[in-house]
Amino acid sequence: MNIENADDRTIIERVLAGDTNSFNLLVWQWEKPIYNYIVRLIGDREEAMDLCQDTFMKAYRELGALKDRDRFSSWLYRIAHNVCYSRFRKDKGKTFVPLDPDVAVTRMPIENRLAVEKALGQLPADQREVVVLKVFQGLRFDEIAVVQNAPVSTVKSRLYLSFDKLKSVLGSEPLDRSQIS
Amino acid sequence: MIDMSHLEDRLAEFVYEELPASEMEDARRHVGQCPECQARVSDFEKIRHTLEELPDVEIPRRVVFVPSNDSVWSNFLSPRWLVPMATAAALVLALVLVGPIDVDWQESGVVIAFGEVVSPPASVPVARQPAITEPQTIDYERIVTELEERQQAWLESELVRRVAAIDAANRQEIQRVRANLVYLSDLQRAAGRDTMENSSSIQLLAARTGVQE
Repeated sequence: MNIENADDRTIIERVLAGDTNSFNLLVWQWEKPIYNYIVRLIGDREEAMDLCQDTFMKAYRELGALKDRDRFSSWLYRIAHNVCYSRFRKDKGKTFVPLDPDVAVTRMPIENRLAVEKALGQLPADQREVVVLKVFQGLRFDEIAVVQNAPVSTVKSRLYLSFDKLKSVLGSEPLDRSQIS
Repeated sequence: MIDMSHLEDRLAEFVYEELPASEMEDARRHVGQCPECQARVSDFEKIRHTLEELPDVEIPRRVVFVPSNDSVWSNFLSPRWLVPMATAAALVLALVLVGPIDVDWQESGVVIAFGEVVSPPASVPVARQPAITEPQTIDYERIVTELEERQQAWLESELVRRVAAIDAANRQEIQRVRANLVYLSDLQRAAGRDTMENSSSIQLLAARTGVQE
């Protein structure tokens, strides 16, 4: 079998059979989505990197306990969720700092990016998490329900609430500069 | 007359096409006829597209796992332990082969006995041993030969073990290099995409600012 085309399930079986180096394949496949999920949830790039590493360490240690190997991604996001919420509990009261837009070139003007990042940062963590998992990570509602350990109806309610808030903050396009401050 | 009820809390599943196929078809028919639901879908899509315009955040450094291949036994059998182990083995072997040894500790008069035979309990009858009239000679050549044989056997097994470990490490290394190649080719593709996006952005910017080529 060709390792380049190996799916998550095959890689997991290799790791559990003792080929621990294959775990790096899973890491390379998932580190960017997991990092993006964490950084958009907590707002701090450096801390997000540490939590991302913690997530993969925990996943490595608990891989044997994963029952349904076809649902690795939901399980991994669930671990990342727990890691982030432990951090929330530890740093209670620490305010969310919106991400500074990086140098990546996109069609979106910089002032709009600042406004959207700020609006996202103003959402409660559970609503922000649903937006991140749905819009940026593309998870299905039933997968988000697993990550948040909540009913699908609650997940959808959180998405509607967050979209209503974002709509009131962002208003109609194009965004003007007064929304940035 | 408008077909079926409004989307209500099925709006998100409709937009993300997560409704069951039959419901999806009904919902499409309804939205096609209902201005109220059309407006709600449009608002939802607008926020969704605004959010989707945000670029991914680049990861500052990569996460790499380097599994350790060293077991407790391979550490224990490493060359730095070889001399103490051989010395200890020689001492034990000498005690077994030679029998009791008495050592006068630094001429202090204190005698330390190694391998002394414990006297049996008085109740157990023991055959009388003939008295040793001559000092027992030590067969050093036999001890050395036995030690060499044991060391040779150990070295052979160690050699086999280490060759197997090197083979396994090589296989892992090949796998790691292959995975790196996959990762690099992904990066190359992403860089290609970024370059195209950048050039189109530059063209767009140039068009906006009126810069002529």
